[in-house]
Amino acid sequence: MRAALSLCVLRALAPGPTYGYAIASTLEAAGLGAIKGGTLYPLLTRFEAAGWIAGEWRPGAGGPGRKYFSLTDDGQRELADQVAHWQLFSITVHDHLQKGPVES
Amino acid sequence: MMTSNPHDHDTSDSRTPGLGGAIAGSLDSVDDRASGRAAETARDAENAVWLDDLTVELRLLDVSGSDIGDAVASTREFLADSGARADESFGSPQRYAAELDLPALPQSKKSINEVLLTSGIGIIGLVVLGQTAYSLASGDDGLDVRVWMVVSLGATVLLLGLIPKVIPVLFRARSRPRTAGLIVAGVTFGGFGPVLLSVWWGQAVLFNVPALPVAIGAGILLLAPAIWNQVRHTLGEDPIVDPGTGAEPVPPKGARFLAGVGNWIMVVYGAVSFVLTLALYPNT
Repeated sequence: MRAALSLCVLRALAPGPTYGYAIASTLEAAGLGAIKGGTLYPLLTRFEAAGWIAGEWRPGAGGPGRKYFSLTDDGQRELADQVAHWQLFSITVHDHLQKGPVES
Repeated sequence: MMTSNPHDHDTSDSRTPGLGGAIAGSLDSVDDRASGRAAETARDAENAVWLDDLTVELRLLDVSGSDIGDAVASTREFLADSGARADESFGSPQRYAAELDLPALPQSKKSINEVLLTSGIGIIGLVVLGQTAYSLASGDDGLDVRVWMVVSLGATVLLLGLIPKVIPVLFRARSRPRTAGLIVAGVTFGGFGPVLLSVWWGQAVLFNVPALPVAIGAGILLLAPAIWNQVRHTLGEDPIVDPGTGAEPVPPKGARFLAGVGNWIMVVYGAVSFVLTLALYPNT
């Protein structure tokens, strides 16, 4: 589930820079359930450390600023790789569920 | 379900079944808004305490000031957007700080040892200076080194060795008075051993040393750590920076005053007590 969530968070960043609560809302709207801050931010911190995303603080209108995250070039490559792996994994699991074990 | 943004709530109500109903509805609405604001204020206060705890936990993990500022501001931003309670959305500050897995400062271990070493040297200097003051004030050129002095020195070194273990535990136990009380009681009872030893055999003289050179040496031991800490503090500050504004939060005047006084208090205390002992000791 954590691997799927990582992939979904990266995918949520693909359209353009966005911030923590917006990412959580996107994932919830996609049917992935409520993502808590304690789950989301450690992932974002790990992605930032890996160089897949970059964070930028933008000032808020009269309030506290927001940290916007965007995919780096490395992050876009990572997203493409992970999507390909996930699709292969998904097809394999789907086929197995449909056909059952292969008889030897 | 995720809590929606409290700033997006629509509080209007178009159903007004008559004047009486409208007044009653209006009063109910005022009550609801008042209780809603009270709940929001209580939640904000709890979240502020939680964020303070997170700051402490990240400091205990030797995370840099800029990373702490970034993590705390990100958490505050998410809480403001979601209207959630920090402990519900992020769990315990200790666990969340660990899960963030932010890099520790490379020199942190060195700096803890440095603090202990400088504190230990300063305390030893203070105690020894106080004893030489009595000898010099009474006109005695020699200082009798007694059992209690050696025991005190050993206890100080032991205490300094325990501090790195005890401080994080006490920090985390500060919201659990029972645990904190047990720790303090344990340390206090543990301290009775040296005290009893000093009471029974404390005055036994082990050897004698010249008082004046020891006093000068003790004065240097007392002064050097304060000067060292002042230089290090001035050159090596690692403030927590708020990334939202890019500004370093200015500590309150009281905190700045205490930080300055804290560094020099042992020197001031040692100097004043030394002078007073020389001036007021009855044998002079």
